[in-house]
Amino acid sequence: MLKKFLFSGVLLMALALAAPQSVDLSVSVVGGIFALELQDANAFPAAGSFDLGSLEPGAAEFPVNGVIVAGCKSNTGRQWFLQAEQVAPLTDPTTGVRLPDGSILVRGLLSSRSPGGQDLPGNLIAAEQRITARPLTVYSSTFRGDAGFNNYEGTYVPLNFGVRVPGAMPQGSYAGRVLLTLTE
Amino acid sequence: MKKIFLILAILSMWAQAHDITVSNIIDLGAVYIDSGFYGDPPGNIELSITTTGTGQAVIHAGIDERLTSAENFQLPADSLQWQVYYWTGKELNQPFKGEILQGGASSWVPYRRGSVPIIRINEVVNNYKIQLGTTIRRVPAVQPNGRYTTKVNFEIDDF
Repeated sequence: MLKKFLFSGVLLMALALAAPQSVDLSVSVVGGIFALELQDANAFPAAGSFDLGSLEPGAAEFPVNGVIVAGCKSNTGRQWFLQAEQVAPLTDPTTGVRLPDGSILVRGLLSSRSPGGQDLPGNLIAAEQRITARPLTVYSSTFRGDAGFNNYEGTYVPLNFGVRVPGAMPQGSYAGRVLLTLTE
Repeated sequence: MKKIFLILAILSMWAQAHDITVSNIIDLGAVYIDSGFYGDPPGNIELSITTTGTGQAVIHAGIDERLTSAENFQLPADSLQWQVYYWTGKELNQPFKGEILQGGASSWVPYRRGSVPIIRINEVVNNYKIQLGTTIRRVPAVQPNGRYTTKVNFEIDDF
């Protein structure tokens, strides 16, 4: 009997102490973004062009100044892709001579923009690839659009561009254009 | 037997010396990506503290989980924050009868998971009210759209 009373008393006390009050709190996030912002290697807005310097015929090089960081921003929560394509082949405007398709190269670099240099969550091309007139996927996000990565501030994809110069290529100043596209 | 009843009754009264109630639904409305909610009235949480006696008490607060959507997207940790806006007697220039245990008197403090002591009240009169403001520091640039919810828990213990 005594034990019963003691047990009941302790139970009542426990109930009295364990009575948290709760607030259901909600907020609706609105707005949309699907954008690509290009930066240079120092996180400044990219000028839109860079000079890869002088290259020897027969060489394939990735100059250190050939870096573009593609800031990919999508809040759709769905998978997206970063693609590169050649829209103008490397051509010397004075002679009209142009390098063959696929002379412009690209490869992915390890991310240096995420907290602690964290690896990108999606798939980044590692080995060098040729850029042609056909869109090449250089990075694909996770199925949830890299949700949560970089504290939802976007995925910054560092790309290094290079050129493969054929051995018999005449000397000259060649310029071309590569288009980067963010797509779902 | 009577002694045991008496002891239990006293212990039970001691255990229930303070009680706390809160407004139970808070809808902050719509917040645009890359912006924040800066503590407008819809976010105010009013804590009503009642007591059967006097004495010190500690209010604990915590969240079950970060603000989370139905698709399981989450706002970053530290997004949801509180600050003491109002207490009984403030309009009469009476000082706060206690101590804010996290942050300063006018600081925004993130809610933490679990139960964290946030305010100590040194002198509790019968009906004491504390109003907490709410802010969401900033919704990140690529936060997916949706309704994000969480549960904020409050409890009060004798000190």
